[in-house]
Amino acid sequence: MKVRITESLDIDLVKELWCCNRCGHELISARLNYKEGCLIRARHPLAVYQPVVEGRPYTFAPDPDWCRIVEFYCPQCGVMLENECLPPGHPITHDIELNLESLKLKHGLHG
Amino acid sequence: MSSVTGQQQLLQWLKPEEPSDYERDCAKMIEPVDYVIYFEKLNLILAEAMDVLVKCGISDMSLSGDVSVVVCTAEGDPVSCNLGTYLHVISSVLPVKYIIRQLRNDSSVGIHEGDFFFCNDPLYGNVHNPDQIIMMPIFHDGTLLAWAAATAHTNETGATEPGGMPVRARSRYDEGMHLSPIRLGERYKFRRDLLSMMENFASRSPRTFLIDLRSRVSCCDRVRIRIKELVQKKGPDFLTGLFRYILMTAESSARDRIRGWNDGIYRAVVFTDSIGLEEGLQRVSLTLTKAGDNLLFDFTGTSPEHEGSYHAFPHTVVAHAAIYLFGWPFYDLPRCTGTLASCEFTFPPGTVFSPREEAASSNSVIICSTVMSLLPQCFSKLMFDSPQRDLVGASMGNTGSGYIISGTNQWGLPETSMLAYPLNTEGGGGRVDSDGVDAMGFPWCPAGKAPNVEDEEHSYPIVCVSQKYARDSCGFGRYCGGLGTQFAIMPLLVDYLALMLVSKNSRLHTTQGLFGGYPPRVIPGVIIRNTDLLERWASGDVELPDDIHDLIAKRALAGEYCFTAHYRPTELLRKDDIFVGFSSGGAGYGDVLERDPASVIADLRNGKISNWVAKHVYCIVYDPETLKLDLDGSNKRREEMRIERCQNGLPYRHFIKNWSKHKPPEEILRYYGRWPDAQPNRNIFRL
Repeated sequence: MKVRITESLDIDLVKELWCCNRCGHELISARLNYKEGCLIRARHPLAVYQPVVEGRPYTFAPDPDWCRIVEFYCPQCGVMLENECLPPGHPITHDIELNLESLKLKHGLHG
Repeated sequence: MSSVTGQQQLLQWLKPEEPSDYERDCAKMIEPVDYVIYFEKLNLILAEAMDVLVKCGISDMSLSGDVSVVVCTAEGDPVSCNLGTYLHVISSVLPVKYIIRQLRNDSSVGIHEGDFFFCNDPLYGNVHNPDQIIMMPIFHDGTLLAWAAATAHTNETGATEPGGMPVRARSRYDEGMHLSPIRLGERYKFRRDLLSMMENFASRSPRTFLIDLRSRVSCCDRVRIRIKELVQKKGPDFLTGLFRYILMTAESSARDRIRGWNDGIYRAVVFTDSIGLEEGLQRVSLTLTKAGDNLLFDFTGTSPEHEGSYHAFPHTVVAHAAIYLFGWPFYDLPRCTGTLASCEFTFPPGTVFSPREEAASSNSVIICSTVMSLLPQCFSKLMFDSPQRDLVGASMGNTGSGYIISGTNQWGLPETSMLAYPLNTEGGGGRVDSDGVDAMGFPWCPAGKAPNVEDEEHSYPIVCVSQKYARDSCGFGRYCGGLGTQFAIMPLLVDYLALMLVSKNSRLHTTQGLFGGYPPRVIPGVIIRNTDLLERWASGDVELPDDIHDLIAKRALAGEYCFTAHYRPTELLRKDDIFVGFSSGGAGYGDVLERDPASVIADLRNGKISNWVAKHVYCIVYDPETLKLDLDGSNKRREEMRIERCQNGLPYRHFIKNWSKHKPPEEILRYYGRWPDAQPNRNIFRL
């Protein structure tokens, strides 16, 4: 039994697994950070933002000394499940830590 | 220094007061139909009072929505409001409760019919000292029944820089007027002595200050008159019962809603790039715990206080949380303390959200824009699997492009004001089922509105060179954020103006995207000095680009092009200088490769995005001349991009092994705290 938790993440309540909502790929235990089951890439801001002004530092594009765009992909279908704009080396956020027992009860599963 | 109110005390005052037996008995008399009819009656009273406030005021900020009017119980709990901004619903509670607790029974002050009180000190509950509140008790036959409170942002406080929000402030002693709750009027008349004192504080802009002050009093008096009419008709017991019924209904309704959301812990982290005084990386962290019908907001992990001006006190953070809570998850519940009774807030001491009392806080709204970015992150994950899924969405732009001009205006009068167009045109965030709204409004003020060009040119000695949507300013995604705007002015009819920029987001953006959407682009501070624009207009030159991006990129005007951070201390803007500003677009929602290719073509046709974005971000294939979509080519290209992601992405452990070796340069981390957990790592000295 799958429950949709975000735009592109499900939880299989019986198997207690995070799954990709797009392709069904089983990512990792639902008791862990789903990002640990993703492929991850840190991208330079200029990959996403075009500088209007040439040269640094004030160009309309984020400064790479200050941040990188860390992207989390489904290993099977490549959909971007989430991204974080983080200073280089900053820890990854464990953004969703659900109470699985409570979630099972809510959806009619016991124990 | 010592203040009468402590930070924890103020937080406790945000809880609804325990009802007395009399209030409980009165509430039992209220039928549901009474609640429906007379709650709406209160709303109509407040709508009328808001009309008075806005029509009697003259400042840009009043006209554009940085206002509220609130009616409170006799013990100071707000039960309904009209706005403007939800900020002032929260900030109205605290000075009223201070007056009730500290001044009501003081023989030298007391509370009497015909009194009205003033407060603008954050240590007593205001958001920052430009937000100034008038509070008026409402009596019936000698018994205190209610309070009216009207708040508006006023653009002058007598600080070290014009505009009430000095970016270079190092402590509260640089911020000008801070008045704890004082009785400004008796027997329905101003006290002339106090009024003169305040006028002198605001001598850079006394006319606007005094007119806006009087508009607040008129607003409160309209509430007083209408409430007394209601009491004449229904009796004081009915009003008391109605107020308590509203508080009780709000709390039970909010708790019912919270129970429907998934229990768990939700975390988000955002960053800022300025402390006001100078650039510096700061982190703001939220851990939201939902259990049963309670919500705990924990800001542990937020960077430490510093020497600059971008701080806020805890109640101000709650007020910013209320902007989201009243605007989204609880949009249909009464805007009162009952609705927030299930929310607890935790702040470890010594952070930018819990600094010592001497800290400058007149720019609290700038650092608190982080709160308006954190809550949509956490609540979107909290509400997705719930009946409130339609409220899921990425955050608004939340940059707060506060551009202040000051000087002698075209009529020879001293004037200081914050230009409201950029503030009021930030883009909305991409939503679960649709794009964000372009130039949606002022993130702080859901009911704000942007002035038009003619209003601005009439009010101030400026000419608007450009005022329209800004291409590529939205966060990209399956559902993109709404566009922000571009804005350029030059002084007209005067030789110079003082200019100050209160803002951030030049190096990185405060917001995060949602579910794979991207945050919006960043914004530099731009001034083009000594241009030939007026000369070329006079000669009939029609070849000039009407888009600021093109003008900047092509250096289409003669002059010196200066690019700096988006915050700028006070400087002169002289004749022929052009100041260029931008508001932020909203953050994007969902994977860019899932955006409908036809929507990308529509974005190109509308000028919303550039060819570069269509090609490099959305990865579609089309004819750049005709904008004809190649759907098969686009699908193929996107499939290639997904394969590339899988080829270049690393498994978690491999990624962390490399990633954790990185660290920003030390000069960026001066105000961050200890890396990476942002714990305090140095002493702060303020004189």
